[in-house]
Amino acid sequence: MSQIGTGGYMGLILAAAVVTYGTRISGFLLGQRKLPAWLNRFLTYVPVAVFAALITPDLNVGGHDMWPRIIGAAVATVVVLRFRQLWAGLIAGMVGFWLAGALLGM
Amino acid sequence: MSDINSPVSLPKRSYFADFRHGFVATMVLWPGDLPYGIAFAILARAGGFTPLETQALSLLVYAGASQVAIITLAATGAAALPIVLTVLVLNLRHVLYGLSISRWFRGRTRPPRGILAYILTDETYGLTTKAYLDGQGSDAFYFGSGISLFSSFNLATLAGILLGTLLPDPNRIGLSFIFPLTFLALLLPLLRNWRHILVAVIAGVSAIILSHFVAGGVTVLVAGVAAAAIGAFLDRGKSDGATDEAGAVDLVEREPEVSL
Repeated sequence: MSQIGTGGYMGLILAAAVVTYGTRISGFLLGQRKLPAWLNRFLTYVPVAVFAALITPDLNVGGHDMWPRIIGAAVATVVVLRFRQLWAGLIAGMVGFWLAGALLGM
Repeated sequence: MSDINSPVSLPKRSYFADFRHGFVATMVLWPGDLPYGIAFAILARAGGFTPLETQALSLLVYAGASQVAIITLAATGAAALPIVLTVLVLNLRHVLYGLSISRWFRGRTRPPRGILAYILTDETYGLTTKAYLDGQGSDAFYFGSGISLFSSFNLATLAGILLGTLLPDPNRIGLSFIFPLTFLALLLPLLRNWRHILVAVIAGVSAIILSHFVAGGVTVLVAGVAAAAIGAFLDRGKSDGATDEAGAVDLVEREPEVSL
């Protein structure tokens, strides 16, 4: 692939699309086979591990709005455990995040 | 409809009802998704991408972090090969999601796997996994969730192209915080024993550390694989069928832990 000129991004976009789709379809195709037991045990833990890894970087630890984010997440945790509703947790978490940000001046 | 969750004779849900359930359940993410699509389009236009190229990124690549990486790298004059390799590494976590979600699909899916894979994202993987664990998952739910996010993100991209800087800066009020909150709400009910909590803590802490050095997609891949491998190691010796909880091999219909 050559250097990209101005305005000629369509080739790059198509290449990126093919690569991205490749990652998406390969798990689906591999998953249709009979998987070894160790891989099944591994996959059992994938949701827990992946969800946790998707959360914590966005808490912006050490960043300027770390505390509003942590407070928002704490509020969401309480509401989710109490009311067992995704939407209630999201609303409470966002409100907690905004209120904490306003009160802490962030 | 292939409904693996009905071993005996539970009432069959219609395909459309499941599709709608997935579509609507995913609408809670729209407040974060729509501003993201708009902000992406504005960024792409500012980075020298034409309206057609901007929309093509959302239609064909459809991976937010990768799209931002592409326009940022291209705008700084990077060559095509390193950009495409970056996209590959950012998206390798999809292999993990595909493998994980495949455990639920049996036989033919509607639509075929090739189409379901096209709309695979963090969010649709998460929500569909949750639905399956609650005994409410199906290929139709997945498809509804995927279409909900794909259509809203692409319409938001279009809005960003058309309206551009006329729109207020959507990131100013931090709506993107809705994404980690969603995964938090999905995670909490999965923490059923100390091994789950340990795996979550390892993944969460290592993700914070990794996020200072590598991009988000890589963080999720590395932290996710490492922590899940530790969980599997702790479970060694268990027979495959005994893995219940977060994997739910022997799934029975049960009350949702958190309603979608």
